[in-house]
Amino acid sequence: MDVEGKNNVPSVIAAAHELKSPLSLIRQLSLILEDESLTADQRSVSINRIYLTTQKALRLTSDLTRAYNLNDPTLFPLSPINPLQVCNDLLYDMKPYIEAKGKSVAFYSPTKIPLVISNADLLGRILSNFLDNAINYTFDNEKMQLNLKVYKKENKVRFGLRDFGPAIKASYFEDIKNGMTKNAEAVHARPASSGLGIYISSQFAEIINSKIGVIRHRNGATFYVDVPISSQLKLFEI
Amino acid sequence: MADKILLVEDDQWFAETIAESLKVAGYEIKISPHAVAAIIDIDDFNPNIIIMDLLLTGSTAFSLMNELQSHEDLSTIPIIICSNLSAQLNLDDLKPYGAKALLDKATMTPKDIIYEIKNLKNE
Repeated sequence: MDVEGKNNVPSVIAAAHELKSPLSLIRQLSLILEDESLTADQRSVSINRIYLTTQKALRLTSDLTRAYNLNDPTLFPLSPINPLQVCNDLLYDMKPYIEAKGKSVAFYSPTKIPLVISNADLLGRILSNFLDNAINYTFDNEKMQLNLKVYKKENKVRFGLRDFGPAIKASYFEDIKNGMTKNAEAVHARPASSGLGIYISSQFAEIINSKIGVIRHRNGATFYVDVPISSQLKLFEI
Repeated sequence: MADKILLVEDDQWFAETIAESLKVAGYEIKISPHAVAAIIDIDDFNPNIIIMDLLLTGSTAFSLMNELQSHEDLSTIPIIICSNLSAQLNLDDLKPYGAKALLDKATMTPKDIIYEIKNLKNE
């Protein structure tokens, strides 16, 4: 299932709903800090959660800003990029959040992988949206998977993020696109989210000549982005 | 004997924050992260009250509330809805599903939840 993003600004309602969630949580965590009976450990956990949730909200606001500027592709230049580096950077940046949520990620990659032509910032944001999504929807005791696969005939590298949670509807992307152009009824998208992160990712993908899609499984989903292999530096396969 | 409250909430950190406040207030709490777990936990835990978010991983609270309403013994368990969508909802529309109170996550405090719980006890 592939999707091609349209350069439309996501609905304000969808953005407001997505931001309300982390802000409500930050507020509740802050209220807890007023409790004088908290132990030092409990206080430390709450403060860490406030910090990580704030970072998540800031990632979203940054994504929204970039989505608004997608009309000017010169802001997002393409260059040869090492897929392994992109994945390692992602896992390093998100490690505190993943661990705080009690989750884990396994990373699978071929030994040799070609460079891809992309924009490191937008590609990283697509993957961090996938990872945020996977963290939300992977049940406890399950390990998420970040996979790199090379499709030489199709001249692409696929970055896939597998979550192990509830199945998604076949009309998932259609529901998200429809939801973004109206006052989104969030219950019609994958529950607990308006799908804004995935929608923005589809817009980012279009700007960097990539495609996102989802593979449905009975016990979850694999969200992926297909990125073209760089033809300029084929001699320098990693 | 402490009241038993089932908290159906898929945001783990939000659930733990609210649960901690309710435990300090003397309630016995069980957290269900999704609707399927909630159905099982209702049978095992026998809550007096259910506090529920509307948007849950896997299915919405409406499907869970419909399920509860279809069982005579479960349909009498009062439900407090606690959601970021509360400002868009009307409690009267939710009453047929067993909802007795509606709280907005963005503005509520733990004391508001305790107030609603005590209100239910007085009914």
